[in-house]
Amino acid sequence: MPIYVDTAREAALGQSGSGALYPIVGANGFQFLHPAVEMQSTTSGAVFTAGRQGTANGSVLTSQTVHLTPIRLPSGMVITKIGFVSATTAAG
Amino acid sequence: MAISNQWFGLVDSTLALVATTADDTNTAWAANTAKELTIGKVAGATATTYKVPADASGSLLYYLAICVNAGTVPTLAAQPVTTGISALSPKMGNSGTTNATTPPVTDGTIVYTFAATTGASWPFAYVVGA
Repeated sequence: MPIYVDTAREAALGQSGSGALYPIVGANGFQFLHPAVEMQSTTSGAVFTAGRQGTANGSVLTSQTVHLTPIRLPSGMVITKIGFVSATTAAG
Repeated sequence: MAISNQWFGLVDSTLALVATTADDTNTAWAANTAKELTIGKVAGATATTYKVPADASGSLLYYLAICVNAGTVPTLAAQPVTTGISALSPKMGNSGTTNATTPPVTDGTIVYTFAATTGASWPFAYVVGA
């Protein structure tokens, strides 16, 4: 799965300042559809991303809560994995 | 308390849970690291993939869900959002406590709710296609 960090695009969208991990997108590009949604083509191994790595990391989680972030997915896409990105360590 | 359960899920536009990953139980999660979990249950049965159904618009709104049951949970890479922004559709940066330990049933009977006053954050997340 090709992954790269598009810091130039991050800056262009006004979201610069932090994100070594923002955005993670496939090398075959994407289409910006909504502030909550970035999409790329549905070719094999495609990665669809949502949310933002912002200038501060959100203290999103508390134990035993289910946190939701929106994403728009193309009809017919077959999803194999879901990913989130940590900002701090959680010991096993 | 160390981590007991970790799972991600796929919630449809009605906020019904339609798919979950396998439980990553007590696997440590290092800082600034992506964790990818494989789909484990769809429509109440064991499965390794979830197919987005057909829609005339060509795409459908979903929510990616994350649940970690631990004494110290990781902070996520995320963008803070205000209460007002989080209430706009598609709503973002919200959470619920329904069935929030092991991966729950995925037959659509679990429906999450958004707290209208919750600001929270908007975590970076992604899905990987087959």
